[in-house]
Amino acid sequence: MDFISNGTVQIQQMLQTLGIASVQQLFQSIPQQLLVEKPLADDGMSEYEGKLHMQQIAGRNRFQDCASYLGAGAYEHHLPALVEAVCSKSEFLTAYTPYQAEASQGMLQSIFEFQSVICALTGMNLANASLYDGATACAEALLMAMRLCSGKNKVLISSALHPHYRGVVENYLEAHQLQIVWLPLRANGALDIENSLPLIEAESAALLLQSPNFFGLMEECEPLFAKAKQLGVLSILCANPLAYGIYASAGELGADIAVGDAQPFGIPLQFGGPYAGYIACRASLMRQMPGRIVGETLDAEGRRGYVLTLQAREQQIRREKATSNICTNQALAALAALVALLWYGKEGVKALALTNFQRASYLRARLGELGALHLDSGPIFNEFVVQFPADLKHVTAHFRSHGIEPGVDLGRYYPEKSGCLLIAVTETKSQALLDRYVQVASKLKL
Amino acid sequence: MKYTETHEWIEVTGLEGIVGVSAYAQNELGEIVYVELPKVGVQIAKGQEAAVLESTKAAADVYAPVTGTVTEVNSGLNENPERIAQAPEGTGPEQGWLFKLRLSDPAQLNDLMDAVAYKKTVS
Repeated sequence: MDFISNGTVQIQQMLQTLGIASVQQLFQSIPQQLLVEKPLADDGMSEYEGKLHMQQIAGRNRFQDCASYLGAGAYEHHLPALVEAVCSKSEFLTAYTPYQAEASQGMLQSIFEFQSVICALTGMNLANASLYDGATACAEALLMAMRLCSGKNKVLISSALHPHYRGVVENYLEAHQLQIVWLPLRANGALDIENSLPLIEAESAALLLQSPNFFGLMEECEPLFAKAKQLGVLSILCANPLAYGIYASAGELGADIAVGDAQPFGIPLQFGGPYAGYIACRASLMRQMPGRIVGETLDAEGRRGYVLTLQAREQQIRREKATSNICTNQALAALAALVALLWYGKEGVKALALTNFQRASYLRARLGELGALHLDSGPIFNEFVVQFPADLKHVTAHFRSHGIEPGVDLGRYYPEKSGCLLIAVTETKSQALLDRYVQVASKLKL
Repeated sequence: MKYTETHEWIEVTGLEGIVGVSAYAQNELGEIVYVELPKVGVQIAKGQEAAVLESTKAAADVYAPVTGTVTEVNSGLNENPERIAQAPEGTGPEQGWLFKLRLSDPAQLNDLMDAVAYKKTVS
C-alpha cells in the first residue's frame, strides 16, 4: 500500500542496492557549516509569540492608510461580502478541478457557470475553466493560433501589451520556431493603425492586441481584425473584462479568441496572484482550446449533470501532443470572479464599468485643468497616463507624504515614457478622494 | 488493399493511394467523434503523423503508410465522423476513408502486409 513508511528491512535493502552504509551518507555533500546541530539550543518562539511578532511586522504596512492609484493590470475593487462567504465554503476550498471530477457536481457546476459568464462578457461561444493569469492566457492563445495555422511561423503583437505579459509570451514562444513582430505605437501610446496594417500578412498565424492597452487607451481594433480575417490570421483580444461593461465585446470587434485576467471581479490584490486568467473563443476553434472544459449533459435518468468534456485534447490522454501541458486552472479564484459577477448582475456590471470610466475621466479632466501637466489624448476606460515636468521620485515622495500612492512609473517599462505615471481610478475612489489628488498635485513645486 | 502494423490501410490505383484505418483499429478506438485531416498539398513521409482520430476517451494518430503528397481529403468526415465506424475500409464517397496520397515511391508498398497477414497480427 502507498504512503506507508519504509521499515528497517526495506531501508537496509535500499542501502545495499545503493552500496552505502547509512542514509546519512546521502547527505554528506552538504557542507558541515550549513548543518544545524540537534537538539536546537533555541527552539524559537511559541505559537503565541510568533503570532505577536507577525502582527507587529504586519502593523508596519501602511497600505490601509493610503489611497492607491496603482493599476497596470491589477486593480483595487470593492469585494462584495458574498464572495468570501461562498469561497470559504470548505467544499470549494481547492484550487484545482477535482480528481474523480464527476463526483463533484457542485464544483463542476460552478466552473460551468464561470465559463458561461466569460462567454457572455466576451461575446464568444465557449470558454475554458480558467488559466493561471492574463499573461499565460495570452501565451496559450498564441500557441492555440499556431496549432490552428500550422505551417505559419509569425505572430503580430501590440507593443502596448502589458510588459509582464510580453515577457511571459516571449518565454512561452522561445522554444517554438516563431517570429514575433511588435506592432508600432503612436506618441500617445495607442497602436499606430496605419503602420500596423501593412504588417499583417497571410504568413502570420495570429494578431494579439490589448484594449484597453497598457496605457489605459481603448484601441481601434476593428480595421486590424478585419484585415486579419481576410488573410486567414486569427485575431486575439486581451482585455480587462470589466471594460466590456461599457465597451464592445471581443466578439463584436471581430476577435476569434478573447483573453485576459478576471482579477477585477472579486479577486483581491495580493502581490501578483493567485488571479485567474480567462480564455474564450469561437465555436470553430473549440478543438484547440487548451485546459479543462466543463460541459452540461443529462445522466442516465435524464437529470441535468456536469462533466469534464473534450478531454481527449488534454495531456493525460494526448501526452506531448496535448493542447497544453498546463492543465491546472484557478478554480477558487475563478469562483470568486463568478460570485462577484453574479452579485453585480448584467445591469450592475454595466453600472460598475460606467462608474470606473466616469471617475477616471473626472480625475483626468481635473488634472488637465491644472495646466502644468501633460495628458495624452485618446479614449480610456479606468486608467490614463500623466506626464509630470519634474523628477518622478520627487513627485511620488510629495504624494506619499500626503497619503497618496499616485500611480505606476512608466519609465520602468518604456524608457521614452519616463516622467509619466499610469493612474488607475476605480469605484473605490470617491469624488472627495479624487479632489484631494488634484489638490495635492496642484501643490507640487514644478 | 495493403495494411501497416499501425493499423492503416492503403488501396492503390496507379500512383494514387486511398488511406484509412482498419476495421479492427476503429473498433478498438470506440465511437469516433472528431477527425483531424491533413491539408491537401502537403507531403507526408512514411510513418509520419497524417491525421488524428478522436473518440470520447482517446485520441489516436494515423500515420502515412507510404511517402506521398496529399491530393484529397474525405471532408465529409468533418460533419459525419460516424462514417468511419460504418465503413472503415470503404473507399466510396460516403464511407470511412481518410485521405488520398500521390505516391512518391511505390516500392514502399512491398513493406506492407496483405489482408491475410494483417489479420494474423490482430487475431
